[in-house]
Amino acid sequence: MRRAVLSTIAAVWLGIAVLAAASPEAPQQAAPAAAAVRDPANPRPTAGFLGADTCVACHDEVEKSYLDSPHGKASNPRAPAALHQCETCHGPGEKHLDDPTVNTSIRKFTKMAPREVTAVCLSCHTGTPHTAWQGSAHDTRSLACTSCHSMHTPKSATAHLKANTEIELCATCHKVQAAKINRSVHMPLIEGKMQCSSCHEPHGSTNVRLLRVGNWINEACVSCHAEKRGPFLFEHAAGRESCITCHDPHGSTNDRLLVAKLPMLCQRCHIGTRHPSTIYDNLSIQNKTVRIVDRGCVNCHAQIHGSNHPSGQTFTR
Amino acid sequence: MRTRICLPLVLSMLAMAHVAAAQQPTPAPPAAAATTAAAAAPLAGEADFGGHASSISGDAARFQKYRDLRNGPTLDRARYQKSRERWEFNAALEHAGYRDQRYTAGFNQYGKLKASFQWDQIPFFYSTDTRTPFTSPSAGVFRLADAFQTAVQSASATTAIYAADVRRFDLRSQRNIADARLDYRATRTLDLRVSFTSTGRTGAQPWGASFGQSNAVELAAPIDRRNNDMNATAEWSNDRAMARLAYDGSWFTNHVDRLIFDNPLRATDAVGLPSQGQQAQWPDSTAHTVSAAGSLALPARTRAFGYVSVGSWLQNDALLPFTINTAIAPLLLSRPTAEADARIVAMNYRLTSRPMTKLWLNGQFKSYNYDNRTPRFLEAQYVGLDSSLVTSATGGSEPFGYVRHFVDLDASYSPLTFAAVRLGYGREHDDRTFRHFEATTEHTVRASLDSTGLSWGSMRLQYEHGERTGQGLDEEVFSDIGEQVSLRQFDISDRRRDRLMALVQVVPIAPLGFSASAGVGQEHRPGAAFGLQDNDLRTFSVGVDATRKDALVLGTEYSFEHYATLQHSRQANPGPQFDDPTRDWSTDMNENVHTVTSSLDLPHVARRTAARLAYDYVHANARYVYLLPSNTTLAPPQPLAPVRNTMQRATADVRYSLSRQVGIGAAYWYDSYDAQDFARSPGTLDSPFFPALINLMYLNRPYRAHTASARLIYMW
Repeated sequence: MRRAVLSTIAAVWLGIAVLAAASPEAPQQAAPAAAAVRDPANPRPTAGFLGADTCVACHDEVEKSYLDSPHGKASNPRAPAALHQCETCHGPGEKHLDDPTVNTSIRKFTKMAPREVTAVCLSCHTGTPHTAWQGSAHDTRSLACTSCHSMHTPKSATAHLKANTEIELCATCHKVQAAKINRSVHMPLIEGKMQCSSCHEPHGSTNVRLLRVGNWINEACVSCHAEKRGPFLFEHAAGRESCITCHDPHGSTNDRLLVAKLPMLCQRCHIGTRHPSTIYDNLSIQNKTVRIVDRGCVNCHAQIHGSNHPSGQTFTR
Repeated sequence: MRTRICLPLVLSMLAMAHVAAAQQPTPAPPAAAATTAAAAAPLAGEADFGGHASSISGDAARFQKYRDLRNGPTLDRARYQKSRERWEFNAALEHAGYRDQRYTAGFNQYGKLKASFQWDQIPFFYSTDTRTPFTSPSAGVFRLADAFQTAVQSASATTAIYAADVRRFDLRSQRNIADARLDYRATRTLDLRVSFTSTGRTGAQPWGASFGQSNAVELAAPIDRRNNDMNATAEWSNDRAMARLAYDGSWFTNHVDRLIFDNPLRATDAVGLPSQGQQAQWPDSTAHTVSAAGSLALPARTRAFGYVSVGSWLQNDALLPFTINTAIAPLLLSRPTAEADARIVAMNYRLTSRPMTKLWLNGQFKSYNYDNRTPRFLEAQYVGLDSSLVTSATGGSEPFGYVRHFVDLDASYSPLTFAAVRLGYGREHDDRTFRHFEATTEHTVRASLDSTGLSWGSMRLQYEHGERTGQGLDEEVFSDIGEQVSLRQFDISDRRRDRLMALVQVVPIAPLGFSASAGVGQEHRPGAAFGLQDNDLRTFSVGVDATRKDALVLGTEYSFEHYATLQHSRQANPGPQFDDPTRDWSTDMNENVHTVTSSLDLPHVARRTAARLAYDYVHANARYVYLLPSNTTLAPPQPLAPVRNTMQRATADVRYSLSRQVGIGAAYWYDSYDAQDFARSPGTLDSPFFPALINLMYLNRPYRAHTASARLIYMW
């Protein structure tokens, strides 16, 4: 039954794509001709293009930001400055010069649909890290490049972000995760040693959760915590399954970024007889029972990520 | 065994400081107030010369944690940039001479070459007041005074005798990272990239070791590891197509492969009573991955993307003996080395199409195969805790592996330019070995409404419903290890999940913005009589941003998070108790977290003066409550104290420009941390020595800190 539903959904989706492709609509804004080469001898090399001097005659407030940015480096043959300058991104300016009040006379990114904006940017930004943008989590939510980046009025020191820092920018939407990095147990983001992009690739990734490295959550984690890569002789299945079974990488109030205190976290899976299934209450605290005070279960089961010891079946060696 | 950093590679690389420049100054020290430099020829460099001093009461280590805030002079936030028409060079340093210093350099020949190098040190300061009676004659070996061991063994003394040997020390570790990257644009469409990262970690960390549930010790386990990572990529791309080939290699080396630790209760070996224990530490390992990716633009604004990677994780360390207890006859190892080998194959295929302007379609298939080829390490018996022979419940190791398949289909329709409605379906199917379900399948449907790009604000709304079911239940997995067969391990159990998230941002007038968000999430695990049952989440936040050009920038946000979980268990010994429902109990956990972040920038608070004020506050309160059924035969548990912690930071920074090139600045910040933790508070661990535990006294202790800094800012 489930296979039939899946097949039906796929068939309907493909059918829409095929039918629509048979009668495509013209795109609102054509992508710029990326292969066009600027001819210094001809200030108006292609009909409709006016040149940057004409643009800054009215828009002088953006000239400096453009020249200071990677887009303004004419020695880079891929940069807009080496092509049609302002008009590489904004399109030919002749109609705009004739009547600036018409919104469609030139590409105004603040007036364009998100995916139209992205199509313009991706016409040049074709390589890593943008190769996996289409179909990525941010693309599915209709984010555009200009949702996070500003070419002319950036606030950050690098990457032309619309906020002073990456964390500030990501916190615009990811409120819960941004709040967690301030918790008492956290990775060094607020200390400036890491950023959101230390783990995530916002432009798209082959990994889940837009993780930057690897192809599964664990591969991303062991890129820094390589000691836990293994494989080990004795594996802790919950950890090998996924690091976030037990840890919250964004921040926690529990030691070692655990999602709950010990022994309660372990008792979510270990219900067996004797000590795993015992209630550890305040009397246990007063008696300094090692199964709850200090490191809890990990006082003894220290090799909780896996053991390479022949007697390491229960992760105590 | 030490691997040298590739100095020739380092010396040959200079490039733009992407990473360092992206690391904005953080509260330690506070971000400097904005400069009021007049528009003139750009300045090439900047450096802050100054000093800071802190007055700390309480846990000075926790206050510093990832930072080095020792009193003293500072050279900080130094930047240098030189650019010409065709190239640019950047260099930067942060907190020179301190344990958290960072140096970067970068060179960018526009459109041709980018090279960068970074040296970054990340300390971790655990404790200034750690105590231990153990001495370490060599790395990884922990010894107690023989005379004291003998006295305790003969019952003429208790473990309190070791107090005479206690020494205090700082417990810290350090991560040093050298990262070098080169990006060469061979042609207009061909990029060649190579990177090398060497991470060394040294110091010590708290580590548990045990001789049984009544005899555990906490050690300052030494850390001496290095991981070297390398990437080489060739990528060809234009606006129509992309092809990429990459290799990733990783080599992990641990110079402390075992811990040997004395037993505080025994001086001589006996069966069931070892005088020392031996624990394996992280084994050396390598990982190699080759990947290929490609994409192609197709008609109707369609793009196909494909990615395949093949990798292997290898580990073949020599195995330690079953025990070092000389009173136990040695057991033969079924093989001398680990022979651990996992082959990983990952695939990702995507087809994205926008056949009509308003319609967007996306289909994705992803596969991840963790094929654990490690041969089973067969053992009928092993030595538990270096004490005595134990019959293996499983007959040996269980080389756990899995295959995951993901299918995602999404369709988005934009009835208006800045609005999109999305429907999506996802299916994840996992096959596993050695777990109680042979396979699990989760179906997820999702719907979202996004309105972005409007001048007055944006709105996001998403609802997601998922249902996971397991197949191939193997109850023997539980009965073999003495677990209840109606237990379901929560990470793979049947699960029903609903999540609703909403976010609204409104900008009624340009300088003023409001935001609000709310989220609700519920997880329920039907069919699990034991284990985690429910996991619920509620969040909301409100925020205000105000900007008055060249006058002030204000941002403040409050967020609230509520988490609740419910889990079931049964307190029982083997025998009739195991099947007695009157011995059931539950844990009801509730946690509330309040977070406030706010900042105020005043770039022209007075003539030539800029100021920045900031305040951050986090308060978390969690309760673990035990619940018993009405027919219980268990004694009522004594309630646990709540787990609370509160962090506050207030900062003030003022900067005065004496001239275009010289300025002075001063900053003050106040930090406080309060914690109440039933497991690790000073009230609980008030001594290194308990009958069942010798601990390091690494605690959750509060602190109050006042820090002042002054600096001379020089720009050139």
